[in-house]
Amino acid sequence: MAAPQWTTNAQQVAPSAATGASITPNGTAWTNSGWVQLLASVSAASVLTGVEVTWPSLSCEFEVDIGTGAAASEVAIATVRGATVDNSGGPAWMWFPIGIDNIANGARLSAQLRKSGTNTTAWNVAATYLLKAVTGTFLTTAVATTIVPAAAAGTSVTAGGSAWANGSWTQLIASTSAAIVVVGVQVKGGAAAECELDLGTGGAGSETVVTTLRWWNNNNDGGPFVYPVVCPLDNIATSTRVAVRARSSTGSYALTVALIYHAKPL
Amino acid sequence: MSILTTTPLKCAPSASAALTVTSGSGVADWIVGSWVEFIASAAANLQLAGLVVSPNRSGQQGSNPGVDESEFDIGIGTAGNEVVIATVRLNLFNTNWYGLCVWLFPVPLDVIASGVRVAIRLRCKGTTVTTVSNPVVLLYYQGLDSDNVSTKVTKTAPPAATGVSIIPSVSAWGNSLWSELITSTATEIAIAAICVTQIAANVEWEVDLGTGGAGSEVVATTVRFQQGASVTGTPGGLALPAGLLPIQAGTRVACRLRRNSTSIAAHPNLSITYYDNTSFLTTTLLAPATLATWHAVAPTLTANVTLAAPACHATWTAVAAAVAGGAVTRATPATSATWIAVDPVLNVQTAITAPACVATWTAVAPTLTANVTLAAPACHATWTAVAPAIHGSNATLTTPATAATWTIVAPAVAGGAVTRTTPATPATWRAVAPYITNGDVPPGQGVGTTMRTTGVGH
Repeated sequence: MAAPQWTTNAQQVAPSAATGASITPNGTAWTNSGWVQLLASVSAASVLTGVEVTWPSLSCEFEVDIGTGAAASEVAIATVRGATVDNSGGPAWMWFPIGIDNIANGARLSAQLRKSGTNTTAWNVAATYLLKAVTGTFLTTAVATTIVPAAAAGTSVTAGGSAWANGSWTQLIASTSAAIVVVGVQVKGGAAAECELDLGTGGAGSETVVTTLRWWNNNNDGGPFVYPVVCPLDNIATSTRVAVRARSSTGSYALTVALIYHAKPL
Repeated sequence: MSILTTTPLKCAPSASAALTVTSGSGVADWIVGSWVEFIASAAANLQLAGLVVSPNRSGQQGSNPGVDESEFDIGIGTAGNEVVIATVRLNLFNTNWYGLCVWLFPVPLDVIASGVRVAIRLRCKGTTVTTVSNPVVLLYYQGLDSDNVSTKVTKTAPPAATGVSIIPSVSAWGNSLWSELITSTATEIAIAAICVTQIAANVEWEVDLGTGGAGSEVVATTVRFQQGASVTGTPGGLALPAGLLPIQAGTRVACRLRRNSTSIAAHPNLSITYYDNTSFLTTTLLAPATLATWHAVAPTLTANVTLAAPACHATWTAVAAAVAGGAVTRATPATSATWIAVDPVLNVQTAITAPACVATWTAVAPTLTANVTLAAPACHATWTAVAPAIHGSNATLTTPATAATWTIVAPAVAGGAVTRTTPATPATWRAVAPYITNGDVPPGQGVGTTMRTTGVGH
């Protein structure tokens, strides 16, 4: 039975009608910044729908946690992952195909950042959310997103040596600790090219394609290079090896890849 | 229900270069080009998932921000007989739109049967070039095992026309004025994405989508985004939370923006892509079977709705603010319960029955345009019925069968008689009907015989 995702709830923004909260990155690669408050208190229990990020001109991979809790006691409820080449382009609203239903009435919202490199120029972050009760059909979970590899550079993947030839399979996860639902993939490429990425499961040499993503990497500019999976992929069981391979209009095209998922049960 | 899937995403063409679609030739805007075949014959039922649109387009207008708007039609059928099943609006500025150059349907379209041919065509705004050629890839599922699908056609507003232009506030983060996108929706629609051309660098934005008459707009949702250092890079398609935003038929849709800048340079070309003729707001809301507190809110319904009451011991509130074009049926709680039904705008027949036994029951139906029956509780109850404006025919308000406190207020009844019967047993009863008009006009608007009566009985 068709039951598409929809809602009549108006999306809220924190901070609202204001520049995003400024976060100064840690000077050490992949080390957390301090938590920065986005909103002192939500007016009702809420569902997190996405994160809007503004970054300076630099090439990096990054993760932003959204947290709840009092200052110095923040707990991350979700993480977005992306990559940049410079600060051209936009938009940069990184949304959750499955809403994060883990914000209690009155909760304080905050964010922290970690990234590759040592640049400490400030970023801006805002969160978007729906006040509960949500009218409509919107799959939500209290399970935070998981990133692989976490707090580290994406896995390097190289396309085949000639145009549209498959590259070798590259392992992302040796063995899943639980069944997972894939909601996004970060794919940061090199120069302009057409690209396809197969996500596969199975032992080395016996991988089976479970989905294929296609995109156009243009001029290697901007960001955040996140491919949302609108219908989240629910075909990776526990204790499963996960790998990827690439092909491109440009032979030997180089990518870095990170997987964004929820561990089951949702 | 699940929006999850085990079905792989696919693309056409696969493992080869994108296919090029070309806009129509001519100096006028929005001349549609020829269909280009992407799938000769679907191997099975297919579900449209999105487009990959290359920025490497030829004939592009370059740095003029007013001429980057494009519409891609996806059609099915044999060559020369294609039928449009989806239109996607993108603002493709210059030759640089950044990120992954992917536009995804928030709800895949399940409209391609096995064996069907799939093609794409393009039209653009542009008066100084003859054609625009754009490489494209079609994204789809084959046999998608997800509930997140639709069979509705996607359209754009304004269709095949320049988007609206918005002058920002002179104050940072001050709201612009509202600009109209749709005067009145012909059917219920579900907005999928907002499309906008960005002309200012290094800004953060919020765009409100609103509904309501000019000067009375109410924010339906807000999207937030940023534009980096280059104004030439935007895919134009901004997704909405939770997929789709349904809008009731007969609704005016408008938009406004605010940003962290004091520049008042106009932001051009704001438009939307939406699913047409949807029915998200027609629904059946089933009550819990056991002890529960249940709150059903269905504020914008355009057809029939059934609100089932809890089976037992529950607090139940049903709110259906605007129901047009179909009947409304509400079942009452079977046993002790507090039940509140609020129906401020009903345009057809409705039956609101009272609880069967001890209960507190309130029914409010202030503007009814046809028959209405408000049945009283059968016993020991406090019952309040308020129906101040009935434009149609007879109204029957029956009293409680036994001891009860009962109040009926029907100040404006036009076009039909009102019959009120008194309680059978000792009760407190109050009926107020100050305006009765024997003509099919609202009270106080002139035609017919108006009689003012006030009756109070104890």
